[in-house]
Amino acid sequence: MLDDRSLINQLNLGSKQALHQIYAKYKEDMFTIAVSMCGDRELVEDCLQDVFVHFAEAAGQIRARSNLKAYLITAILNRIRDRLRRRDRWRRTSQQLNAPAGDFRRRPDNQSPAGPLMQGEQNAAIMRAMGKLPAKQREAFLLHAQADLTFRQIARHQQVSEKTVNSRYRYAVEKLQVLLDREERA
Amino acid sequence: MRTPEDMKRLAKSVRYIPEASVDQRILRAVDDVLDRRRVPKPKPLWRVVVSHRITKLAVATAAIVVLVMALVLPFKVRERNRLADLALAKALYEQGNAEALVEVLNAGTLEFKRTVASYLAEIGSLETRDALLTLAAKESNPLLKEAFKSAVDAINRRLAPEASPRPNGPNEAPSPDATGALGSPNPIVLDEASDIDPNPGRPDERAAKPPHAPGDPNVDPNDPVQRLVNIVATASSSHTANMGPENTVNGSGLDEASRQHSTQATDMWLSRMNDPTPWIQYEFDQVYALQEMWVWNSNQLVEPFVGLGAKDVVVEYSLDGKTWTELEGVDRFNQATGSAMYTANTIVDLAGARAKFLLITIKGGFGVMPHYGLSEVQFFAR
Repeated sequence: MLDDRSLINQLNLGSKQALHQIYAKYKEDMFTIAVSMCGDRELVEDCLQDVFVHFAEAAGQIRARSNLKAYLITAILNRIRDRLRRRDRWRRTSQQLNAPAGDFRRRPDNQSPAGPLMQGEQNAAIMRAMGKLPAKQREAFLLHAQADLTFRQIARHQQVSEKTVNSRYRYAVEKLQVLLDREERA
Repeated sequence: MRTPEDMKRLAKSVRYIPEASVDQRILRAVDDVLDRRRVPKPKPLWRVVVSHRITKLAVATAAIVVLVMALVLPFKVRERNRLADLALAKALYEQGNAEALVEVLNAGTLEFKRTVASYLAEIGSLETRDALLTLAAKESNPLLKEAFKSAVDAINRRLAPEASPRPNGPNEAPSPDATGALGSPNPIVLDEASDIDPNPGRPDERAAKPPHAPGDPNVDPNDPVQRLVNIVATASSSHTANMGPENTVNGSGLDEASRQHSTQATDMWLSRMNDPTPWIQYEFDQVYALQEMWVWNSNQLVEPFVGLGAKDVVVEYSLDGKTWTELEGVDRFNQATGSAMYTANTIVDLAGARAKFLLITIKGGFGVMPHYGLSEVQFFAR
């Protein structure tokens, strides 16, 4: 398989094959992180499509300098955040108008992001525990532990210092340890 | 209790994978986008080169260079043409080709025309004179008009003896204004009538003058200083018959009141071209205690750019014309201005040297012409 730089260069020349390869290479990381963050598979599928459609539209002007994995993961997380924010606003407006609640009112269920590929009780437990973390800590933990992004890359995404990311990650780990311990004892 | 590494491993074990139908949907969507989009072709090499900043810099530099050249070149060309014109004029002058000189007189700068006019003054024929008269009548520039007129005058004076031949007497002045400047007509050495000295060489070799006894009793140190008259001037050669050495002692062209010398070539002495040892000698009527020698260097109009004046000189004096003593500390005359307001600008201190003869040997001049001249020389002595 070609490296990211060559793939981007080929995509810039209009190669579908290159874009397919990029998709195959990073879809799992993107999907896992995104679902772990919001627990809404449908939303994540939509956002994944959005990100790649935009990526395809930018073909010809994509710079091969930045880290592609970090870029794509960051892109899908931002898109999900935007979507949730818009949906939230729409929900509030709807409530004010006494409109009947629609399907969109379903909040992402962080405490039970159960999916068909969820394996084992341990996975369910850690996902439950993660649902109890503040969003920023959860994001820092997932990006570092699941997707192997560096603290520096996470810091750029969260727009905070590397030190802050570091402590967010540490708090998340400590809290998860306590939560999992408590669950095992119970 | 789990370690942070355990937590990381746990987190990594959680994987979600989109369903195959989602993959297909997304890939179809992006393919559609790529199909719709016309991905811009990469720029062709020539456009990359043209738009590169080094190319732009080079183009800008070249433009500046071209601009500067366009501004400077005309001046350079003009300067080269000017020098070439002058060289041509000089060559024609040396050939004595007055007709061709008249032809080139129509073109060129003021300086060029004045130079040519001064050449014509020396070598012009009667036809040249007529052509110059016509030009002078048409000329609007007063400077040039004057130059043409003075050239005409010079030709007139030069050709006068030829036009109306008359016997050359020993007391006859070469031109009307040459008389009377010193109160009495000067004796003129007539064996200088030809361009080429029949017997070149040092005066002592020629032994033309009778020996004069040293310690002449006529010289009294208490006598008042007087300007010497009755000086006989001889020279190694003369450029033309009317440019002989006598012109340096007969007051020709010298205004007695203002002490200014004319720019008229025939008021001066000029050696012939390529004279191997140009010299001019003055013989006084007796031995004097010489005090000062005032020198008006050659003062033709062309002086500033042709430089006919004597520059590097050796001054010697003698009681008998045979045994010479070199005057120490004098090896250079100053250049004349080439204007009609020129006054003597070299005064040689002779420090009471007792002599009846004074010899100036010219080693070099101010210009490129291989001949040298003087306008006037005056001696003061007891």
